[in-house]
Amino acid sequence: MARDAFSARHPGVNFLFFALVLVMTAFWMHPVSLAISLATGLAYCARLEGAKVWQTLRFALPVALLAAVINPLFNHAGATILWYFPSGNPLTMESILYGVAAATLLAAMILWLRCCTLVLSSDKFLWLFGRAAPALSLLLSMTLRFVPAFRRRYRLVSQARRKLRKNRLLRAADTLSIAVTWSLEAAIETADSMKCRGYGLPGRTSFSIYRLETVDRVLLGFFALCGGGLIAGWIAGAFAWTWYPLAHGAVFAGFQAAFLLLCLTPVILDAWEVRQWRLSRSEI
Amino acid sequence: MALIEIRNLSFTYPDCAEPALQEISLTVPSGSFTVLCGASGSGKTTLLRLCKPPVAPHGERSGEILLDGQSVLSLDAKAQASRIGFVSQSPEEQIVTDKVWHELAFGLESLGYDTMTIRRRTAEMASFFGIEDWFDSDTDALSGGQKQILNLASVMALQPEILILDEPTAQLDPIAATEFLSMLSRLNRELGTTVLLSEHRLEDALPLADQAAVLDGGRLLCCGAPGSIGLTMRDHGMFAAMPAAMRVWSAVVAEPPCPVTVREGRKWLADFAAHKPLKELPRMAEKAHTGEPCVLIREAWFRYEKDTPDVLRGVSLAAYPGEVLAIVGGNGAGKSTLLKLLDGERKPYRGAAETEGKTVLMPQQPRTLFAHKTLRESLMETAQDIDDAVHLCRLERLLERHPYDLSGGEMQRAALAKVLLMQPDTLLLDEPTKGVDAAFKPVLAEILRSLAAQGKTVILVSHDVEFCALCADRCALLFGGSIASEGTPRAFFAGNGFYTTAASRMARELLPDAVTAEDLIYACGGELPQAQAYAPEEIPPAPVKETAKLPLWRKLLAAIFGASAIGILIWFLRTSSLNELLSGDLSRTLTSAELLRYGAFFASVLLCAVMLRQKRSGSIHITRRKTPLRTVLACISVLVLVPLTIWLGEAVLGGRKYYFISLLVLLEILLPFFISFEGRKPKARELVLIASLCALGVASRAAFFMLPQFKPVLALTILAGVALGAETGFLVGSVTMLTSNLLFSQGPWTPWQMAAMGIVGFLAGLLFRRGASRLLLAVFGAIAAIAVYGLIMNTASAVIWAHTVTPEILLTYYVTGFPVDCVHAAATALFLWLLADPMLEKLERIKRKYGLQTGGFSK
Repeated sequence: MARDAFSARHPGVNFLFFALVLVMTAFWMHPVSLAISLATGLAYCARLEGAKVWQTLRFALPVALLAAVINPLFNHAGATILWYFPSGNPLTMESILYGVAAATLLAAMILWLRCCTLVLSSDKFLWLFGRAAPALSLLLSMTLRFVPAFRRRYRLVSQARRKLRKNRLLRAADTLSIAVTWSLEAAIETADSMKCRGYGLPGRTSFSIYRLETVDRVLLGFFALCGGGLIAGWIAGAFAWTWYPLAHGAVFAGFQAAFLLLCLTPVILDAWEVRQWRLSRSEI
Repeated sequence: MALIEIRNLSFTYPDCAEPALQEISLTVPSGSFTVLCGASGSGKTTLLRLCKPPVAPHGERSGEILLDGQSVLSLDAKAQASRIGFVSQSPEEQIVTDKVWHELAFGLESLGYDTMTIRRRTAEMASFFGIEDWFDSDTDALSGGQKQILNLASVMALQPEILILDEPTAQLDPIAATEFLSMLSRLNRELGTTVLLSEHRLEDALPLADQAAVLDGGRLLCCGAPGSIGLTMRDHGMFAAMPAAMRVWSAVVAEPPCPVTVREGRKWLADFAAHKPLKELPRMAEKAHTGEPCVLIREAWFRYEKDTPDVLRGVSLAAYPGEVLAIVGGNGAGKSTLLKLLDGERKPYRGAAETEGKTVLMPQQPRTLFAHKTLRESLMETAQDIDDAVHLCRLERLLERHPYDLSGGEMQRAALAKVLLMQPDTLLLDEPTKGVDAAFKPVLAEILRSLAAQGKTVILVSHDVEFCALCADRCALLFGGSIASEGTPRAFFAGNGFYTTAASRMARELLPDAVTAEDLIYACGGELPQAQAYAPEEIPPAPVKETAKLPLWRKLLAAIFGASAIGILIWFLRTSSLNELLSGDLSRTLTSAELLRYGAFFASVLLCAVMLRQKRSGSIHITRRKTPLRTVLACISVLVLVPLTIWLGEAVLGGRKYYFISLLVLLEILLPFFISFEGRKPKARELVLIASLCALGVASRAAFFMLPQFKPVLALTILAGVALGAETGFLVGSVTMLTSNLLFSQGPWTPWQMAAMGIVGFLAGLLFRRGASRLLLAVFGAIAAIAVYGLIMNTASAVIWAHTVTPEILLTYYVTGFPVDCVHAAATALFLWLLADPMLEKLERIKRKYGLQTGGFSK
């Protein structure tokens, strides 16, 4: 079950979107684009997680605060001097502003990464690897399969040996030892099963259940167009901002609006699908 | 027309004097359903595996196996995979991937089909086998029966001409087993797929077959219609395995035609009774319960979570010393939960569960009990005097074997011995006949009854009504969380119409009291074949172990170096404090004197480790290996590219795009290894072993989530490198980090963690090519945690979070990260100290047992 309309889309679409947004967030130290990224990241994360978004924020805030504090402590560039540290170094307005910008960037990155983790589920991630690195992709899929299997074995062993050892630490060591032996022996049987089904033949293909639909093509086209335009603007300097010695720079509203639209795409898509569904129901 | 023709096949395992198969000639006609019968150890598995070359055992063979007139060995790999389907015993272990749809597609991917074909075939299979509902789910979420159906379906997706199944229902409960067999029968009838099946559940399987073959001691005794094998089986000690109708027939008249199904059995019995009056069964006196019940459950209610429905609803039950109580019931009736209550693992939230004396539960999976290298050690762990239990469970010859090398029935016996050694007053058994062959069931019943005769209480829960009828004094039916009926086996099963034994269904009208085939044989005046009397054997004495002692001078030197290391450490802590490091001028803190002190410290720790190092007598010996060429190449490319990139970054970009440069460096470290991994097309066994180790790492990282940095991942990575080579060490380390971040959270830190962990695994593989003592490994682990992993990850933190990187900021991150790195180092050293010997030993065993010895894996 997909979390929202955008999660239900083809992994290629998801991947392109997150690649664009994450790269643009990471490299554009422009106050407006940073604010846009933070706000839209928060909005999408909240849409995906509901009230649980607080958990992500609880992790993001201290990290961001730390970055905001560290910069003025160690970076003494900037023209507007506010105060002198006991060591004799100056505290500058610009270094504080830059710290705040860095903090915004970090918080935005953490929020977008959280969205990325939620949307790109393990099988989508494997699709991305599947074609380029089939062996690695299979290895990941098998690892994902063995993790719960190992946990279950551990639980069974621990239950079975409950009365054999009183010391909890020793029991845990025994349990681990048995679960590992068991898993390794089981692995060899898995290998046999793979060989039985032709693993190792040349020309292995990589199957995925994802299909590229019209919506996906439209979205891909839009991301390519929008992303291309934004990158062109980036190269031309539309997102440049100078922080030291004096913070200044220009705001190109068109580019910023395009960035806002790009970042909001998942939220818009979801709202649009909800509306479509309501409409289709009301026609019955 | 013969689809498979086996001609004069003989087979001998290496190091075995006796051949496992002798002169077998068997024809499996196209479209037939052939059942292979035989006690365990009769050669069924060997024969079936020889028909499927990829899993054929190694050994000496003569004769040939033809598929459609062509030898199976001469078939090309693709035809071997697609034309012959093979399903083995364990539902769990055959599943390769994490999603049901991927599992269905796995074989088709291997054969190189395109996406459209795979989509069509998987859809077809899903709808034929009724797995649409769980098509998208994780394979781990399925029940045992569902898993085995999935295994069958994913083999059938290749559209094989013949399906070979090696006891596919052994690990399933009877209800799932019946479902599985009826699915097989449907495949055979509706698609015409030829089926060759070995099975111990003949009661269900024989009625489906049109041909049956009997193996004993590696020889084919007979082959023909299912009805024709009855006499052969009776005369060769396989009486207990036959369906009830055949058992009664073979012990009474033994004139063809032989009844196979319950329906035929009823007809046969009616004819028989018309000619000869049936004897009355002797009345069985109900056991009078003397004394207090030792297990008493009064109106107990239980649920697992606050919001989940009740599993047990007012169940009341009493068990008395000296009786065998069997609890039967369908899936989800709460049988296992009831056992947990009896065992004291759970408490009812209303009502009472009281047990007197010691209760011990024998788990469903017997292998959960064995932690040692030999069965003897595993048993001695519980008690010193093991003789009685060994005799009772007939384990004399198995004591020196590794518990995991035992067969299903042997392991069940071993587990029973282990449980008995704990001196229980009440013995609880959960589905004791699962995975046990028919011949052992009467033995197990006898063991349980002799325990009861000693005054112990035996309570078993099972789906296996035949077994319960055989061994219980009292049976109870658990339904909907409470006891629906109970009584002596006769009263109990005679009262049930459906949930009863085959013999009882056969004799319903004529002899309502008869519940076992033995009852019917008695009533018809037949004779039971004599079971071979069992004579206890001598227990061989334990082999004497040699232990090498450490010479005194080495102990002394080790003590001196150890003391000096501790001394330096204390001196350190007194002279320099972290506060000083943080507040002072950072560039001047590390003077040459201090560096010297660091050096002295590490040197004393190392020397102490070397002194304590000793060769153990034959315990862990890592197979020597060479470093493969591609590893060297990967290494060289890393060593050339990385400095080049850094130099270029400094020269061209002026060192300002550090984020970009560091990403490039990471890619240059990771890519050569991954490309080399892709390029050499890893073998199945290598892949599963690496995946298992990664899974272990991921699971352990998750298990210690509440302790920051106190994690065994680094230790496991180092052990993987030591046991399986540098390259595997790198892969295990990096894939563990990648996968665990997939489950927790990905971020810019992922490639850093992958590279850092991989490098440590790689170094371990390079440095310890012949294995190492655990002390040396622990010291290496601690140093690697600080000097490699810590260094890289602190740099990563600086690059990711600080946004401007200057030497001061880097140093700040190193210093603030140092305490955390110390925790990591301590954890790694501790885990290596605890895990090194057992883990390396296990990995060596796997390598030896499955021939994975040579250089890493490149064979």
